[in-house]
Amino acid sequence: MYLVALKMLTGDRIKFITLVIGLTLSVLLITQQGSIFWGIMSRFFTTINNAQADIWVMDPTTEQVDSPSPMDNTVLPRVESVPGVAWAKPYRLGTGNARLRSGISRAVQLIGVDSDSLVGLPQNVIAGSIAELNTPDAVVVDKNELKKLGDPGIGDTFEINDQRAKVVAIINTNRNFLSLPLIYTTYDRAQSYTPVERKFLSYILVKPEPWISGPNLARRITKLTGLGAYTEEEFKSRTLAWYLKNTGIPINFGITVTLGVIVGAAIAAQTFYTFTLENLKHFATLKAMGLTNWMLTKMVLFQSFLVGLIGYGNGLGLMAWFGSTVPKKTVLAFNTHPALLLIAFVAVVFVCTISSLLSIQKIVRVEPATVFRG
Amino acid sequence: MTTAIKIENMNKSFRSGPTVSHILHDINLTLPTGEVILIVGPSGCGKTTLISIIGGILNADDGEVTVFGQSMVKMSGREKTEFRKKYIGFIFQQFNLIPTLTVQENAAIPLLIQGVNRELALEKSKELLDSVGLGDRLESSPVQLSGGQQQRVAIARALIRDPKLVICDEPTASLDGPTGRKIMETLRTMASQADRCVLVVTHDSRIFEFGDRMVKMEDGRVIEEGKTVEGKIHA
Ligand SMILES: Nc1ncnc2c1ncn2[C@@H]1O[C@H](COP(=O)(O)OP(=O)(O)OP(=O)(O)O)[C@@H](O)[C@H]1O
Ligand SMILES: [Mg+2]
Repeated sequence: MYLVALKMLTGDRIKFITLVIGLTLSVLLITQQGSIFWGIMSRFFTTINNAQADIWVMDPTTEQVDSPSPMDNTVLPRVESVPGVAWAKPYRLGTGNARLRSGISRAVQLIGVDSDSLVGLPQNVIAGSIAELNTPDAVVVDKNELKKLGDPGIGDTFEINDQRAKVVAIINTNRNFLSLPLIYTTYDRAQSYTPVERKFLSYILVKPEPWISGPNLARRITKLTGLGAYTEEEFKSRTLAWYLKNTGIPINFGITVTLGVIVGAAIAAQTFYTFTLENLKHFATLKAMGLTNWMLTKMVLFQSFLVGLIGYGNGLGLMAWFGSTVPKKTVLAFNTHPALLLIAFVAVVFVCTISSLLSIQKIVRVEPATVFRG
Repeated sequence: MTTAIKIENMNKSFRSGPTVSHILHDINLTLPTGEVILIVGPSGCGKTTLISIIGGILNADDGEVTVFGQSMVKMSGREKTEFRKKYIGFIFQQFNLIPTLTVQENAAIPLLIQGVNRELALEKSKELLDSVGLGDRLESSPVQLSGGQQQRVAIARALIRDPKLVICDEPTASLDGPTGRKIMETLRTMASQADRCVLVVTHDSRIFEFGDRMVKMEDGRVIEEGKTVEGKIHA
């Protein structure tokens, strides 16, 4: 009977293609909208992604990654001495003013990393060498906002807060929400670029010993030092929560995206519901001929699963194409979270299943007397 | 001659919202095997409702309905489905063929529902289609056939499981005279076997002569019932 179900599904080419197109669009809409939403959300914690640290230690009043409350340098040895810490490195996240050779001034994000280990510096080198960060005046710039710095090449110089800076490497990083150019340098040089501040340390990046889990060590650091300590994931959630609480951005985008997802799901539901409804008479005939409710249900589930799968495949293909072409040419935020793929699949199959069960429940519940009516 | 169908004091009403319409009133009928039984009467008098109850696709409100000695009233929905699968072949006015399946597959469906393997089902289907003169249209889609041909596919489908009871609702309504007669002849051959019974609901006086017995209905009641000679009930 599955073969019969298959033929009922695919026998009418035009209806079948309409069905597949409907479901493809719905999957495309769900994954594409979801990716854009997640893309925007991930920009809130770009800084976290770029640094790739296991544990972030911060002043207890720091609420989100891009506005740290500075700490005194003396907390570093206290963190280092917590049992379970393999190493702890200083990390400075601040701003500066870059004056380009053309004379134009630009706000930049100035990041200082530990000069020996370079912990916190993204390793995607496009040109030059990050090892040269220890030579005089050396800075590493990020490729995304290079134009805003006047497109400097390796060896080019400009000024940061009136002091000389020389580009030794260009790296690829994730775009951040503010679209500020990122300039990396050593922790000490970042300090010398910056007008005197009493406290300068933004974060301490920590690696746990193999015997202790990230969350456990983070709790322990907080307990022993009184500082805030979070794993990478915890810090992301915290940052996201802050934006959620203090800005309308996630809600506004969320509403738009949710609408997209609902429209997508509605298309899928409507398409498959109509399809099953058109076949209602045939299902009723089969039932009159002795097909059990259970077999009838299995046939419809088989159809919805199959068509959901095909729509999912097509939709994902289109989405991948969209994701790999459009954002590259624009600054569109686009980030497909793996969970999204699962959500889209479940959504489409679920929606098809529910809508088809809704449409056949009339036959399953009531007796199949419809077969005698015209 | 044994009893195929026995109905005692049976009523049926439909409820739509607050209004209840009483469709069948106190039906009492005893119908034997080995005959073609015609059910006739004006439109809306309840013929389709009656055969739906006999065929186990509608439930009676009260009374008793026994088909081949089994009480339809006492059966659960699942048991009725099983009963239909085992004993009954349906022929519908609109044929109800599935357009995306071939003629051969359509006729094979009752066997597929029974779980007979596909090859065997298709083989049996071919045999039956041969016998109704459609052996050369096995691979066609039903929509490519004329009304008479489609009805013959429906007959092949109804007979493929060799059912004891065949229930037909207006089987000749959309057919021309000669085609209708041919179809009735097929049904009559089938009914002549001793343990079989063919129920035919019809408006079509052209086929009255093929009946062995007639049940006349009016307004939800059986008003006359008896053996027929040349299409007329004789007292
Ligand atoms: N499911 C239903 N719900 C409500 N009323 C119904 C239902 N099925 C049938 N009826 C009503 O029952 C009455 C008898 O219907 P039925 O189909 O049995 O008549 P019929 O004798 O077969 O008529 P026809 O010759 O036109 O096919 C009609 O008035 C019809 O409107
Ligand atoms: Mg009728």
